[in-house]
Amino acid sequence: MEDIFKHIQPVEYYKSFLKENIRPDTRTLQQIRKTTLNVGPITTADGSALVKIGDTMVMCGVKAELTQPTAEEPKKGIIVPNLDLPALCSSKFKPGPPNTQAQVGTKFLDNLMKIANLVNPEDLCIVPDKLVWVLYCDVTCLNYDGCVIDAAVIALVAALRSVSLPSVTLNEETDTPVTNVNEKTPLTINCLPVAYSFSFFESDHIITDPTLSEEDITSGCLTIVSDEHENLLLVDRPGGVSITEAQLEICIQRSFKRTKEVHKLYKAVHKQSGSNDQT
Amino acid sequence: MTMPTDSRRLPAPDISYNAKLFTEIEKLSLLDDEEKRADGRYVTQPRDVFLQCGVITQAKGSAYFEMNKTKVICSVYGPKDIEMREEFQINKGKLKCELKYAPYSSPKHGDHIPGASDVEKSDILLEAISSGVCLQRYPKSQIDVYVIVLEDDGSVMPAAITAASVALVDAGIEMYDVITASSIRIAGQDTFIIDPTSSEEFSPLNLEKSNDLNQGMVMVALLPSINQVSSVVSSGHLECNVLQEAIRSCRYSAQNLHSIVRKCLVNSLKKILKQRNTAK
Repeated sequence: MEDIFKHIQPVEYYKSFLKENIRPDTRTLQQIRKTTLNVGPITTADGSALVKIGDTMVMCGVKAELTQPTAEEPKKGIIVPNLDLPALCSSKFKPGPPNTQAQVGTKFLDNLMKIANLVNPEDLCIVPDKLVWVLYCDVTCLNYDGCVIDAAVIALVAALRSVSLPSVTLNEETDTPVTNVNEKTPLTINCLPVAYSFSFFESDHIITDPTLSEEDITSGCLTIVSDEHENLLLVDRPGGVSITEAQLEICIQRSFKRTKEVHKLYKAVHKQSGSNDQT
Repeated sequence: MTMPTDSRRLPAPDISYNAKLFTEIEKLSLLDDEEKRADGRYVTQPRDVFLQCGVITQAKGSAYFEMNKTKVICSVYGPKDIEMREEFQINKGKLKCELKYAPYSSPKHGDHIPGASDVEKSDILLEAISSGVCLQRYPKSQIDVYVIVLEDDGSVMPAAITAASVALVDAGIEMYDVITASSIRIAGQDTFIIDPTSSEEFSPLNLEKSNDLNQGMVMVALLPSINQVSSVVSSGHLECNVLQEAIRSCRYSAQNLHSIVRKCLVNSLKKILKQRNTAK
């Protein structure tokens, strides 16, 4: 009976829960789902992390390879983020080239990395004009249940933090690189951003960490990215129902709180893996 | 080799090299003096496995399969209306498989655009699991099977086939039997290495110099309860009797996986029934 009502009239179904200030999965409007972080599951990658926010599951793998720098920026390494929403993670997506959502997500991660200066490209330079590192940061969504961007950002940052680059020198006679796998230096991460998504139900209710079914019936998503020093890095609000300044302020304050909680997670994971704290 | 520029992804360098290519890699031999392999296993010993179904809640059915470092995840969607009208079949349904490697799954960063080998592997997967699915029960419908290889440490095809069949059962698709698979590396007519890791897998490039020309790989996919083979894939140079012996060994190894698959599915069913009972 309940399932039929949910299918035919999803908005009314949801409203009946909101009246009691609760959501269908028994969370309150402000409660976030359980977040777990696992660093280093993929040994073929130089850095990897698996993040679960409720049922949403996202895997990030970072691979560091050697290449020639571009002519415009001879002293900078290259960072290539990529968000993949494969057909495996949801029936919404078809196999083939990346759909619009994946492209938007990739651009979001790219913008975030540049704004936060997550990894300084100049740190990735080995020999200017000849040899630099290229970091391929691939985020694959394995289960799509809302807030994929939040999970992607946590996974990306955690995976980058676990990367250790071997020391590489350029043999001047043969012009080929020489790698020493025994000497590894961890990558310097300048910032630890955390993304937090909200959506709005009919301009009245602020829904924190919406699941997929909630994203479908609410209008407009707001994503706020901040770092541990309460700096606002990115506010993403692509259209949707209009909200007041007060509501935006509430969301910003909540996102600062969330950032502190996720930071405890970052630190706990790194203590276990034994690597040094970067910030 | 320059790849065509993908306009839907961020620009990346044309060519990049794995840093480990420029180290002095010591050549490891397949077996050491005590007849043990690099990871301490004997030739007839398969790796420890982990199998779990129901990992992707958005999918109708799903499975995650791990063979030590090889990690494979599979999801099944369907049965649903067929998308392309030309493939419409009145008497039976259509099974569509797609196998993808995650870009971080192998030592060299993978291409995003699927190459010929990805398509070939998807076809092998399709052939291996088609025999097990009762497609005549789903006329005019389509069942989609998607597999992503998260980490490749050898024996990817057997892992993908087993995971796909468990995911199909988890999705409630009617099947004659589950499908289990196993692969073997042949390094000489007396040396059969079961469940090879990626460094032990056959590669035409690193042929060991010996008089025995039998070098290759064989993979067998099996319907264990009815003891029928659904797919045999072999590569390399193998004499007839060596090939037959290899297929026999593979069948035995695939048969052993059956109990693990059954246990996983029964546990999953018990969990679902328990949840339903507590919900009431």
